[in-house]
Amino acid sequence: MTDSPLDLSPLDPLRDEHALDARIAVIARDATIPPPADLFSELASWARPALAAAAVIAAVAAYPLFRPRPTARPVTTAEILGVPTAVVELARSNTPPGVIDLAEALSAEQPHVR
Amino acid sequence: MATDSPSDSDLIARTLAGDRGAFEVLVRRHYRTAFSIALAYTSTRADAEDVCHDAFLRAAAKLRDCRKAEQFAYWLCAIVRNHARNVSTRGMARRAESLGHETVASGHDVGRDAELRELRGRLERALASLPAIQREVVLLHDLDGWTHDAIARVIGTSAGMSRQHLFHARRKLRAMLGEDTSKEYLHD
Repeated sequence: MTDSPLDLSPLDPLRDEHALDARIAVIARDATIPPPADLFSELASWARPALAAAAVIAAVAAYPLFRPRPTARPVTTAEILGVPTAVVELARSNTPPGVIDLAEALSAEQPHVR
Repeated sequence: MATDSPSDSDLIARTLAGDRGAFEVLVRRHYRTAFSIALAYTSTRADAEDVCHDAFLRAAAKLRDCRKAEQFAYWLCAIVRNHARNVSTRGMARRAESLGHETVASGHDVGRDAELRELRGRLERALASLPAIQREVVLLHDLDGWTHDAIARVIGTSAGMSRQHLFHARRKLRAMLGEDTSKEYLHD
């Protein structure tokens, strides 16, 4: 039958009791078994996770204080004085405005606002 | 296992109280399981033994962290597997303090020792050709006698997947080793 167990017993580490005894003796010799816990060490074991939790809470709470805020666009003098946009654009252009252009710009109601 | 033998929980409690004898019993009880998992990832007995040694030392050092003492075997399996994976990925130098030998079990019968050594070599080479997950399942099931439910819990899959891994592993191993592998060669 193809699905019957394979005989892997040659690999069994428990086959050779003497070798196993030797290995276990070495493990028991080398093992560092933690001493019984007292109240102080039990409390001390909580110190690290408590500090970690406190650090996370502090970081989350402090974030809004140091969060970079969106900067406002600088306000121009023309905006402060309420000069119409058309006049500002004429002033920025390299060519001198004609009389009609200037009249239309000055008569514009809408000031240069953001 | 006899029913009156101490439970893992008892042995852990005694170990933590300073009883090294209890720790030895615990190691002996779970050595084959640890070895099976270690062998699945290292592919040679020698390296698997070294992994077991180190894994039991880690388990001893962290024994107080084993919150569910009755599930010590699963906890130990995780330690062994993690360590074996680390070792297998970075390669392994044999421990300087070697236990000394490729031990064979049959006493002074030189011919039988040679036969056992040769058979072990064939099994190790055949196992090495399998994916690690199949090695782990076939070793835990056929060498250590674990159920599929328990294996599934250890390897993080379903019992059905464990059965599939076992089926494929056995089929490949038989194809490589021949049917005579299942002969009870070396059983006394």
